[in-house]
Amino acid sequence: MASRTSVERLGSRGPEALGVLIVVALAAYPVGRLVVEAVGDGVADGLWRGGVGTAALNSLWTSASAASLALLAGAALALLTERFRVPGVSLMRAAIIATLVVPPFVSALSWHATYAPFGLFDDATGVSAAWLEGRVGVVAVIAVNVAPLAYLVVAAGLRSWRVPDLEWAARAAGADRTATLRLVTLPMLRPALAAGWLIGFAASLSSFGVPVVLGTPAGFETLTTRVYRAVAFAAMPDAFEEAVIMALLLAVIALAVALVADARFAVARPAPRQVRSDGRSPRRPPPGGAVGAAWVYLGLTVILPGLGLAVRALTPSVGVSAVPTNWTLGNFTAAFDSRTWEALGRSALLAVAAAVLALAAAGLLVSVRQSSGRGWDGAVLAMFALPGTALALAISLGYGRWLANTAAIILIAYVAKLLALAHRPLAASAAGVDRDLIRAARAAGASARRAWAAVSLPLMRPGLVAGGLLVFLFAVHELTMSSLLHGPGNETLAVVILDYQQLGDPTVTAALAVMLALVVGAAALLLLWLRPRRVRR
Amino acid sequence: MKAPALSGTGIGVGYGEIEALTGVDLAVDSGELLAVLGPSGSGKTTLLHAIAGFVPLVSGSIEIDGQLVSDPVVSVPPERRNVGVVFQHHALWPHLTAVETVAFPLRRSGRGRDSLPEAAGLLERLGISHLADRFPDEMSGGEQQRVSLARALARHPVLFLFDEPTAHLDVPLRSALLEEIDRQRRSDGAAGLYATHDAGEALALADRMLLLRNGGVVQSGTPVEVYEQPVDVWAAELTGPASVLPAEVGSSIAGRQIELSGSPDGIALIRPEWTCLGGPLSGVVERVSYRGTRTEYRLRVAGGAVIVSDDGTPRLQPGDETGWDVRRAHLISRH
Repeated sequence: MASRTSVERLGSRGPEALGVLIVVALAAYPVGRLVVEAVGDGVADGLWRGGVGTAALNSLWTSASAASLALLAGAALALLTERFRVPGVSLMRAAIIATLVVPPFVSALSWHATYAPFGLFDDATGVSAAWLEGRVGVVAVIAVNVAPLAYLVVAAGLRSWRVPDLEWAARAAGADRTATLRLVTLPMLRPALAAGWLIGFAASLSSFGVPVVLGTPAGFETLTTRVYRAVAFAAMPDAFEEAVIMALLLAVIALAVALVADARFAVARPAPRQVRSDGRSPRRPPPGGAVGAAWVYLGLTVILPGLGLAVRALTPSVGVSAVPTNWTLGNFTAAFDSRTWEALGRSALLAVAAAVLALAAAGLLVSVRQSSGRGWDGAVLAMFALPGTALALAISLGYGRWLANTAAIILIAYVAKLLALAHRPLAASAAGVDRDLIRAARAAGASARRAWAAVSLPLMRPGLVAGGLLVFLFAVHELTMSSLLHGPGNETLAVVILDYQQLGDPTVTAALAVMLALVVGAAALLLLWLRPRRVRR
Repeated sequence: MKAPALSGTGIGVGYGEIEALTGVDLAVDSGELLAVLGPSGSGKTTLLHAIAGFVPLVSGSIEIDGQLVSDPVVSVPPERRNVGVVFQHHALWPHLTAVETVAFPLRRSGRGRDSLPEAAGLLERLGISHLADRFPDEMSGGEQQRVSLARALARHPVLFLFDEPTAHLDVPLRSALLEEIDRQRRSDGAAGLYATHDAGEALALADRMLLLRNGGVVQSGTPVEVYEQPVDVWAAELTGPASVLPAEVGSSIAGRQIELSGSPDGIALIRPEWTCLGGPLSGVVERVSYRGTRTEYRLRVAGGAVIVSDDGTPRLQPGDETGWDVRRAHLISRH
């Protein structure tokens, strides 16, 4: 008997309106304010002010060079791990990806602690890199930070076609190894290479942590660090107007790059699922020395700097030899004053809140897609591609009137920026739920709600967990937006560390950075451990 | 005497701990087609990959055209083996059009400028010149398979390797392609190795067959030999429907004296077409399967069950008693 509802209402407009609301509130309205403000200030005039032009050029060429270097390293590593039999390949993959979860400014600090004069390397060998502070250092460290992104994109490209039939077909058609690489592998990889470069460029462009640590002391300024200087210190006349113009410039370049990457190379779409080869394919051992070279690269760029940072955190002061007899925990006790504890608590709370809100918003967008077919994927991606500097300024313009100097405004910025990190895994696991499974539940007597709770939700749990942890991971060490939006008394942990760095206390800074890296590392390990087990077929 | 186009002795391939192939012997003369029949996972693809030079041998050796190409020490790279491979999933390069794909092997063998016109000519001969400027994602599965075949032909190899080329095609397309493969290969006078899990294809196409199970050869011979004198029940059922009844050594089956071939060891294998309805033996119909050209009845008889083939449409129902007869049987050993 159909006593209550015999017909389900289809195509309700409610969720779609909420989807629009989310996108407008988090991105469209603030960015609109940014554009209005910039136009009011006279964009064209602003661009030609001395400092702005130099900073813009610096941003462009550092990003282009860093993206190219990152692509070179990432593509070489991807070819190695995806096409050859490498002993300990999962360890190598983990080491490559690990760089991705290290906060960029921590990475910059660790390079500084290791390779700059008085660093660990200097201490041990007497050799140091004076060039680290300045343009070369900025490019090098950004490149190392961005390389895992390029690696992931190229590796996905290599995995997206039937390994290794297409290359074998070329061999059987008479092409030798190099001809196969030249005529088949690289041409087919071209979209992935281009996408890897563009993503690297966009990521480098929005980089703030590296240039503020390594560039600013040497007087090398990019758009992001100049905006920070203008907003945080109001050191220049018309500082805020100039900051608004630079933020818009950053936003426009980043969005244009993201648009090209998305339109031409389908970055937003998941890579085609790999068709399993029926014959197992034993891989050949790599060319001599390649594995060694890869480990040397990882050792010099990731492992050794991590060590250098840890040693500096244990050293009483810079210049004191880093032998174990000199080690002390003094830096840690000095670092943990009440302000640090408060900031740590605030960052953790903000990160948890951001994770929950981002998951809720992402869940809403996913359900909107299921009911109306509109997923807002592009808008979510655009918010992620927007440099934090630009997004923070836009949100400050949009909501500063009411929320200036509160933690709430930082939270809005986190959710807007990191929504994509919750959305991707959630959308992927929702797409993985076969509609027939839900139909089977309905046919077995479950109501729509019951079917959702009993079938959809458990199957989406891996996506929920992964999305939430990813947001937490990036929110807890967020620096760029926090440094622009925080007020007195509500600093986040990363801001406190930056303050110590700028006050010129490298050992306490190192202690704090080590502690932050441990928190992030713990969250990353949790993510790895909870990663959905591969389903056997 | 001319060396066979392909000969392999004791071929063994392993992936780490797993042995994918062990002790496979085979020989194919030029102009001859050897079908490798086996269920999925039996090592067919691995065998083809070993011959093409994609995977190394852990034991044994392979010669192509009288020349050693593979043993545990030597491995001539694939591009210098003069084989044409038709891959199971086509393996067409997504960034090349059909004509460029077919020109690829021509160019590699140093045909230079003439490669493109020559490739276009080949496409024309195969009747697919309308595909010349299309990319793989603009072709149907059958069209992709033809282009893949054209690419292998363009290599003018001494040996073709077909890895289940029709596995993903529907039935009409499948027979058209099989005819094409047969004609092309014969006109080129090349040898062929054809991996398949479809017994019908293998029996119809091959000059000789090789039955593969868990990486080892179970039986080899002409299609008639393999079909009529299978070495065991597994081989019998792989190549077609068969019934098994106990037989008294050297004398009778189901109490009837008939001509028996094979090892006198107690199990008689009977193909449905070796039987008929009506005769001195009796049975009860258990199931009736109409096959179009004939009808098969499964009868419960003394000592077990037997499938009897009869021309025409079904004329009995389950439960009916009927007489039947067996003209011949093949004795196989009890495991």
